[in-house]
Amino acid sequence: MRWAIIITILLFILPFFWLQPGQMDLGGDENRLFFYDPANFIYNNGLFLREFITLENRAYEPFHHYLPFVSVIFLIKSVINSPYFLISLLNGIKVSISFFAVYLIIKTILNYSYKEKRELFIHSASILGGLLYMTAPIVIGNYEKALLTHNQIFLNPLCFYLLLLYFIKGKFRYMLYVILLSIIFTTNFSWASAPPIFAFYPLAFLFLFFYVFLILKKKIKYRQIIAGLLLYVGLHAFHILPVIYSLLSSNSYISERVFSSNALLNNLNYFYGILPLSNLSYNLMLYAAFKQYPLLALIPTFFMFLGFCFNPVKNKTFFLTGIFFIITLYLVTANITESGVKLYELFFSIPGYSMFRNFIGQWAFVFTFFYALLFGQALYFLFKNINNVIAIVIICFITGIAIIAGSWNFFTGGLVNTVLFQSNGVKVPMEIDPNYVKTLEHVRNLKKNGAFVSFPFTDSYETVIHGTNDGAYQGPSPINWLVGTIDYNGYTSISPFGEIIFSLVKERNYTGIKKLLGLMNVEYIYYNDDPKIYDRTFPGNPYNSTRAVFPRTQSEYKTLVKNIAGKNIYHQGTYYIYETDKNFFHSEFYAVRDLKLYSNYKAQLFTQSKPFFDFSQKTNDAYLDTLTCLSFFNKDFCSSKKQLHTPEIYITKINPTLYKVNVVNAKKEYLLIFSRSFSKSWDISLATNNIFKDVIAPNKLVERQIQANGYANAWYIKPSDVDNKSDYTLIIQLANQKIFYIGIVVTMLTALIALVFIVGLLLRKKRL
Amino acid sequence: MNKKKIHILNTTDKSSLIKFKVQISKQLSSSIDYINKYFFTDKNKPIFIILFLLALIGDIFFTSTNSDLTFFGLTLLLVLIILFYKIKSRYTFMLCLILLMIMYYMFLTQGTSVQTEKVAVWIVLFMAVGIGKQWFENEKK
Repeated sequence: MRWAIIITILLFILPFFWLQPGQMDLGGDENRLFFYDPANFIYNNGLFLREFITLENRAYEPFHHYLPFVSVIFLIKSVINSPYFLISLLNGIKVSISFFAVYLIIKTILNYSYKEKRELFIHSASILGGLLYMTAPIVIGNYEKALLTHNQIFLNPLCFYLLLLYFIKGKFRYMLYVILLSIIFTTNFSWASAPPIFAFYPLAFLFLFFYVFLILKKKIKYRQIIAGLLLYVGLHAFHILPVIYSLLSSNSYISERVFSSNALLNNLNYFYGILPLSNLSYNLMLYAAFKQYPLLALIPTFFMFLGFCFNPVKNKTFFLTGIFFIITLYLVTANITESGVKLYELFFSIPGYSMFRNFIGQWAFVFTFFYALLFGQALYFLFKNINNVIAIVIICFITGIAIIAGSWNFFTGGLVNTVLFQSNGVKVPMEIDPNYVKTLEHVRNLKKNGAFVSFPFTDSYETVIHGTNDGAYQGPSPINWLVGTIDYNGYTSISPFGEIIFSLVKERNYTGIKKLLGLMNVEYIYYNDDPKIYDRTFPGNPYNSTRAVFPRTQSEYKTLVKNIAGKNIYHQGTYYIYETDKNFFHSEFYAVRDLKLYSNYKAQLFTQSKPFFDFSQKTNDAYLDTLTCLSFFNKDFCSSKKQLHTPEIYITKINPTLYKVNVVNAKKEYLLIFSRSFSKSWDISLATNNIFKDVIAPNKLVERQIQANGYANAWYIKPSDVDNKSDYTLIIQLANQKIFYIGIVVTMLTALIALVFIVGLLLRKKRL
Repeated sequence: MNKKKIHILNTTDKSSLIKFKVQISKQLSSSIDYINKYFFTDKNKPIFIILFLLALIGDIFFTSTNSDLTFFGLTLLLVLIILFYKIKSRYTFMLCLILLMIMYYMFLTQGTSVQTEKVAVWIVLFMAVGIGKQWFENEKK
């Protein structure tokens, strides 16, 4: 045990040497900007539903799962104000606990299943098993752009170990520890982590069930398990309830992923697309090809099979682990015989299995886990069979060297201090530019709510910010994630208008660009003229497609920005903020003066590729596609341009999901546009004097909501809908947000009940 | 009273189940004896093993295509050999170990070629057979 603890401490300290103090590593698909600014991150992403734009749809999705984890980060950061420390701390926990938890699991199995008493056999096999798991390529990979789901590398074995202890010892406190962990790391137990959860926990529970109840013959404490489950569900209600609601709502990103038949087809295409990348030989040798020294990669696998050959014990635990190893090997490989592939294809008919379409990555963690358990047991067989201290020490040394040397790059921090994909030597760790900090602060202090467009424009949804060192941030827009303002910074994020903006920029149709930005409620242009984020340093990703259309250099970019921007309102270092042309700007809410109709190309093509709007200098025109128009209005109404009545509109934004709209002088019917992504979840109601009543039980207007301008919400409001008043207040709110409020109440109540119960037990001096 | 009835019923169920199991095992053992007598005789043991190994070597080194028929056919032959000649699981694992070395050599020389992957499939199939056999050895013990 002493050696294991020393190794764990060393592993915990190790990541503090990977980055230099002051450096951060915040990028990647998901971003980890909460290390930099947790308070703003929680406010803008944890409390309210987020507008979530993908190539397929624009929807509002719950990201409440960030709340507990980022709150803990916020608390630590308020004591030690260093993102470097926080990043290193989390990395230290990941590295050390992933080793130690696997070590403890193997040790427990050897103790309970094989009744082994010799410390040397147990500890050496368990330590090597822990090291093998911790250094497996899938476990050490992605540290430099870790998604929050990456925490599974230590949470999976840790939760498994605690549950193993619970089932063996029958002490409820172990289950409480698991529940507490699941709350702190909610991100790993939320919809965003659905694939890792469903890949690991069902198999882990099944293994534990067979192991504890059939092999160790322990009793099941049903009541405790049910109490634990209820406690888990109750405490997680704040993020589970909104997800269930989102899952059951049509047009949400989540339900699209799970239930859509198109999604099934896409997933099968995806599956067959990546199938050739799956190699059984890699998996058998635990991804030998990805190791630093492939020559050494055989050694652990060799000793594992040697252990099988000389198994002197013959125990059901080995059989059980072996079966789980083969099952997970099949799940992670798929490519085992033609019949195996055909069978695998059938799995995609199971609703929700599509989450495993990237089966190589999704199943790799659970496979590595069972690989380590089998490896630990096989080494134990070998040691027991040899029963010679010197020989055991030699085998341990050779295997240990092979494991560590194969991942040497990881130990030295090489996998974190890496270079951004397709860049010219731009490093991942960056020291933030003080000018950018000031710029972000300025953006936060802007009084108007309009959206941003960011240049240089990228292929997807990324922004690049160069640090004061040789590193850069490349990830989702900080303006979007830390300020909460919509930022159209790439082809994906401006969806469904990616093709339109490309065609307008290609033709250098500046008026057309201005009109598009105006219709999208873009009030500001953010432009970073730093050559280090575009010209030569980033010849490929994330500008592969955009560079073919947009200016090729920063100096050419200036011309584009100059031609589409209005007044320059801010300049600091390389960062500029401009206002857009006021003659084209459409407010967040406006009553339509000119209603224009267009034919929707979306019916024939994947997406609208030519402008559906004219380039007139107007701030209150709107565009309806004829099909949508005909579904609500009669032929006459939809046959030609219309001039509509325009009452005065005044807005109060209470939060991103709740608006108060004062309407003055509305004498006739009118069309109210709300320039945020269309969703049936936006409810419009007549305000009363009581805001709580307006939120909880709104007095909803007659349902006449349509999509306008290709993405926005529009309501056609008649005087009869508002009791024939001409001056009144409307409440516009996102209905899903209420589910979060209900969820948070359930969570609080559950926490309170659990706390009272635990304190009561402790006061009566009963141990859990 | 009711409890007694249930108990009697359960006992009857159990005894009929045991009878059924005994019948099945008798049938099985008589069929195995029959096959054993005419096919898997001691005299034929080297023939079966050599046949199996030659087929395996032929598939690995001399064919460049994958066939499920070969995979499952040869695995079935291995299972029968193990079953009738009572070959211990460790020999199956030794075969896996040898195949692992061959796979590793091929991996280093050819990368993930069709042949490398084919050897990997053999390893997994034989490993599954070995693990299953070890279960029976454990049950016997």
